[in-house]
Amino acid sequence: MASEIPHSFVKRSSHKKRIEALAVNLFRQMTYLVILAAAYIFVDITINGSKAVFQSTAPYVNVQFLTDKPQTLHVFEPRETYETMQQVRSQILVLETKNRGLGESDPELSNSYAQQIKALDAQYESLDAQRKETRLKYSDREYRALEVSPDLSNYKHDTYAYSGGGIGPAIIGTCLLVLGSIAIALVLGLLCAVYLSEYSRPGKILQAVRLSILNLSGVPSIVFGLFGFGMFVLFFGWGVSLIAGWFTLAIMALPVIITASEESMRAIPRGFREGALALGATKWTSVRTNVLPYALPGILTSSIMGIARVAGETAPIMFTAAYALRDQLPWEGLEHPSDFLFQGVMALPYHIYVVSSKIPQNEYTRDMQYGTAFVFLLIVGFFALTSILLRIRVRSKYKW
Amino acid sequence: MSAEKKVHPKQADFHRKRAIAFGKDSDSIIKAFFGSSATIAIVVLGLITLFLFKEGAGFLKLYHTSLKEYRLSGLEYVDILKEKRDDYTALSRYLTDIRADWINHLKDSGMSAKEIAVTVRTPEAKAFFMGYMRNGSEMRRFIKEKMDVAIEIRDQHTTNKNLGDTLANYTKKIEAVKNPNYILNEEDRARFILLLKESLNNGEISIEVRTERQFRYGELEQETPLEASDLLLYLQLLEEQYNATERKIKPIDFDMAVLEVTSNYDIYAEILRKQALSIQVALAHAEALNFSHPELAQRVLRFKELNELYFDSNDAHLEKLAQWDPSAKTLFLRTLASFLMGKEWITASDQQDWYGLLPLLVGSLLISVIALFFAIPFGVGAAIYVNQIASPLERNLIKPYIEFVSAIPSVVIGFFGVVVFGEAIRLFSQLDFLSWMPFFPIQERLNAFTAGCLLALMAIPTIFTLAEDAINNIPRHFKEASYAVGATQLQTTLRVIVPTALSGIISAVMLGFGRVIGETMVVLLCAGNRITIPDFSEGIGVFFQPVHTMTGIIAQEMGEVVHGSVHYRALFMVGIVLFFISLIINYSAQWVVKKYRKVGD
Repeated sequence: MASEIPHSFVKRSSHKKRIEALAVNLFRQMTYLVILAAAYIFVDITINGSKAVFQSTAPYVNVQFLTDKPQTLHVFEPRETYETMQQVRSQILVLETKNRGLGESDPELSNSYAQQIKALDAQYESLDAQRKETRLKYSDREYRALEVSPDLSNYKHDTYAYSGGGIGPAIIGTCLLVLGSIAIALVLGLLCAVYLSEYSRPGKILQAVRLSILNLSGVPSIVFGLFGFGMFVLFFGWGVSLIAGWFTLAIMALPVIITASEESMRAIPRGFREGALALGATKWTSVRTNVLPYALPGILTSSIMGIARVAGETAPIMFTAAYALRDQLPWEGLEHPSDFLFQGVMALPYHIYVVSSKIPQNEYTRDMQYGTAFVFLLIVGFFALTSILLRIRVRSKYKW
Repeated sequence: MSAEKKVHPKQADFHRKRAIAFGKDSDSIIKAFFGSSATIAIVVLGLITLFLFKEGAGFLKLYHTSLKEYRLSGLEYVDILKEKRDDYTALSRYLTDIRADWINHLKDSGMSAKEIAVTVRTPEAKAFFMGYMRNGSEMRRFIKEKMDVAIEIRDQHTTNKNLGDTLANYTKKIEAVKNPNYILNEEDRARFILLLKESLNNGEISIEVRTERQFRYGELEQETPLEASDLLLYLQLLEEQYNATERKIKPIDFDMAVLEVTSNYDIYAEILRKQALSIQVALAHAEALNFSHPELAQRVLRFKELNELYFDSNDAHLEKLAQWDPSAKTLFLRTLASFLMGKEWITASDQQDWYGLLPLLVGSLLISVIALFFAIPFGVGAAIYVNQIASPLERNLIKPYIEFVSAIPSVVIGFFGVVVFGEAIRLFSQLDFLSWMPFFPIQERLNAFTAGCLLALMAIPTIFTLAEDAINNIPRHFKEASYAVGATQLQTTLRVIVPTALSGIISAVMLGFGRVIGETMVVLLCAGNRITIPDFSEGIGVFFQPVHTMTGIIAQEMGEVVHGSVHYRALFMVGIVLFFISLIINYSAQWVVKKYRKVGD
């Protein structure tokens, strides 16, 4: 045996090494399982959601879905086809029960049953295709505009809430909420971060500030919602409104922004500040001219992560800013310019919650539900991805 | 300082800067400005506490009053009565099960439907099964009557309280109008017209007055301005309203009223005695039945034993009723206990609303346990893999990816759970080769397990990022020293790196727990929302039951409650509990890091 080893450092397999390789593989598989699980969600929502958002003819994007208001969908299915389908279905069921009751006792009969079922299945499929071809779908507006509504003796009439039209107001509402809240959060967060990184001295106050920031970041989002409801909606009397949502979300995003801004300001080397001070600049001048400009890219990229977090939250806006359904766009029907701030808006996350919990899932509602989730994921994902990519770039670009 | 400067027209090169306000120079002011805005985190935290308590504080008082009324009106007495009824109902259900099983056994033994019908409908069998079931009606009727009485007392009391508030409003208004300088405004005008119109339907006023009022009403409808004489008429109308409202109040004397509930104690005892006798008669018929199956015979025996227990508890039950005292004091501490440890959360019921935190807390914890069961190994494992084992390329791809995963909105994950994952779990549990598991196939697609798995996916990024940080902070020489003495990579990782980073990893897990227990949308959409304490006697099956959570209940019910009601304040109390749980988790996570830091800075 010894003669087969060319030199003493050659890799030899041993029991221990196999166990080690196994353990390493286990860790690897765990990691990849997590990755796959998340990827499955992305893929599932992307594939099913793109049916609602994209279309096969120009302009390839379903503009109506992205811009229209949500409406009730009216579906008229041909009654005759529907009834035949029901009959076929019940026949299939009868045959299947018979087949199961037969067990293994009579293979020949069971075979013939199987064939009958197959034939009926094919018939069902073709009827289904026919139903899809002949059914009529109208959004609420189209339905009202109809001069003659379809004859109910020939058609079965069903309505599905939210399933017609699009999600335009929800997209606009989300954008408004995010823009406003991030502006507020950036201003407040930046002020706080400047103090923490430039002016603070170790002591009780600093400790208290840091402790509160840490604790604030762990407060459940629904508690922020309750707080916003108690303070902005009721105590300030703003009602369910855009501005109440802004402040609630801004306070939620604050810890993320403070931490990120402080981090990027601390990354600026001391020499920058000292150089300015040595030339006779005041502290504020040195911060303003030699710290903030260099820290700004870092602050902004990290703040985008804050945007993603804010945009993704549902619980804080449930009772502070979001309406389940609103007919008007935010700039329509305002009596006074300030009313703009004091109106509730539709928001994508709340819309997803409403359509996935309050209405049933079926072929008519499914596309809209997936489409809404897809658009929302796209928006949030865009912000998150931008933040991550930009940060990698900024980190490699600015190295002091 | 400023005085000094005026003396020296040419300032020194290193002079102190000029004060611009409050004796401070511009830099100090800027510093103070930033310093004050830095306290925003403290202020916000304080405001959250303040507003949660402001809205939630009234809860204990309101709930206390409600519990007092519960006792005074005799509803508590009725609930004791209902215990007996529920016992009997449970026994009847047990018997129904036996009968169903019996029929199934007969079917299995190859009997035809006709034969089965004959066997289960023999006079003996009828006397046993039907004879037993018939015994509850009298008791049920008695309890129903008592319940109606108690509810009526409570409702009348509530109405009285509301009417009292209305009266107070009228008094205030009348006082204001009596002031001779009072000028009627638009609101008064509308009210005046309304009252006039209403008073026309009042049968008690004389015809002249009515005609006069009718005339005035017609005039006012035509936008005629109000006159001074209207003030008197207005006052008169208000007083009429006041009196009418006062007449509606039927004062309740609880001590007397409750006697109507507690009376007929003897009749009730007699009902129970008779019931026991006739049940025994019915049970005797079982002897003549041949169940032809040892298991069934066993269950019938068990059923008889249970009935014995039922009879035995009669005395204790009656004793409890006799002991019940409507005037016993409801302790304030008990109110707090019945919130924190109450087993029921029942709202908008016609009897008594209960706000017990326990079902929600247990639901939240159950889901967290499931989520952490998956998230800890996967999160920490992935952190170890990425930091210690993976190649640099893998690391640079996986880390941003997991950060990206943390940005998936919770409502999207919840939506995925509703549409895909819940159904997938149910289909999975129906697979044949898994049927040996006692709780498979599961009944509900939305249950604690569904929500737990999805929450695990949300907690993994948190745990991963923080644990990876902790591992990353270990100085290189720990690893190198371990390699130098000949340890393998796995040994180094598991025996040197992980123990050193343990405090960081534990704190990561705690923060992950904080994220899970505070998550709202996933549990609201996927946990099944059934407000009961899950049945722990089912073993692992408990994880597959629908539950409700603290966060979910706030999100679900907040939109529908009346502001200022007990229910509204109860939700804020739940919010307070959540808030403090999250503070404790956060604080202890930091404490762990500080206390067990092995690597000094």
